[in-house]
Amino acid sequence: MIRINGVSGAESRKSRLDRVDPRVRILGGVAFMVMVSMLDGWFQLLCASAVPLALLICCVPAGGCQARSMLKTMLRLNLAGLVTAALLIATYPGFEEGAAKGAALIARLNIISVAALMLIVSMGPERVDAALSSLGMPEKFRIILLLTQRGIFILSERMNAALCALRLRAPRMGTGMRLRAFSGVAASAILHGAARSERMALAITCRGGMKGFDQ
Amino acid sequence: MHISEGVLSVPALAAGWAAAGVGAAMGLRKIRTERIARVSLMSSAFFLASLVNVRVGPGSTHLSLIAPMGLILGWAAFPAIMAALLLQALLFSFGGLLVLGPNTADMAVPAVAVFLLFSGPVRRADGKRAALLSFLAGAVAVLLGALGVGLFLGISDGNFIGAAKVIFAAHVPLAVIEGVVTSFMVLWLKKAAPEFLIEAGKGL
Repeated sequence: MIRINGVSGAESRKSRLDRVDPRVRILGGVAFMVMVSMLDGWFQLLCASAVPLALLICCVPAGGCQARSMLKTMLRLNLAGLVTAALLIATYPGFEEGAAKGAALIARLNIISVAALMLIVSMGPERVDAALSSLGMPEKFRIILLLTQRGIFILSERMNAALCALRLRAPRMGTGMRLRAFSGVAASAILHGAARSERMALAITCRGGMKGFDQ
Repeated sequence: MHISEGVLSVPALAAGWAAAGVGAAMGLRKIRTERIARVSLMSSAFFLASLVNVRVGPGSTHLSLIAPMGLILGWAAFPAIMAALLLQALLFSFGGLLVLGPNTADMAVPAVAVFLLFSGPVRRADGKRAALLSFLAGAVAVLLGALGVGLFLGISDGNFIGAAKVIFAAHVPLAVIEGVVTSFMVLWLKKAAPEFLIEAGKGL
């Protein structure tokens, strides 16, 4: 099943950072993340970690659902980071150097991820889209982003129904049949998406065309 | 084949963003205004299809569908993949924002490569030949993506080559599965809506 918990993720979360211009948040966030990517030493990473810590302390209410959702996200990201670090340690020439690289990678992952979550992701797709647009993002890409977000919620309902029907009609399928069935579901979702897109394009044309997207 | 945050060096990030930027600009130029809605819905469909876990033997995997995306969208696969990955990061905090450029390049370059190499032959072929060509398209796309990951890791640090080799080897079985799924999808589309598979040289 496809679970789109997009509503809780897509809502912009209220915080003290809302007073800051979204463009400043995006540019500042990106600059900070690039700077952290250049850091390798422990002291440097420790100093850099002060920024996301300050953001967490000032802007996330303790015990709230926002804190819980952030904790879940960080756990998931750290799991992926641990796998990458383990791979590096296993393949790097020199165990100690590999371990140091792996540990630095996990530190950078956490610092960059918290900064990105607090500064950019928490704004939600609509505000990020509006900010990127005022920073010069091409109009066509902005429209694709908005319509893709809309399309995800439209098509997820249809795909879930198809996958549910598949499981009901054939709960026990061999691997080959399962791949074939999934291919059919994906291809029919594509066709349905295309048909829906034609109606969407007609509706947009009736409402003023793409000029309606210019703010 | 998402690369996590904090792994790549600044030169690797810059290379990834440069490739993604150039590709997205070319893709946006080739999209006609009346086709924007279709590109968006295709992006949504692929976004969702890649969220589904398909059980394969004792384990499960989620598919990337890079080759079908290339065969259906062509150069428009660049902005479509970038939009899907950006939304994954914003809606689900999946992937990353700083590595969006390299991740886009990783997936979109193979999609366009498959489009340029296989779109014409797949359109013209029938039956077993079409199945074989689509299988190759799907497998090649995944292996090119794994090569891309290795390339970015190599640019970051020469000593990451060992990890790059392991990642490439791990993608070989995925390439086979992806090839099989691509083959089924293309055969289904050739029967139901052959006009979907665009040919290199013709716009979307």
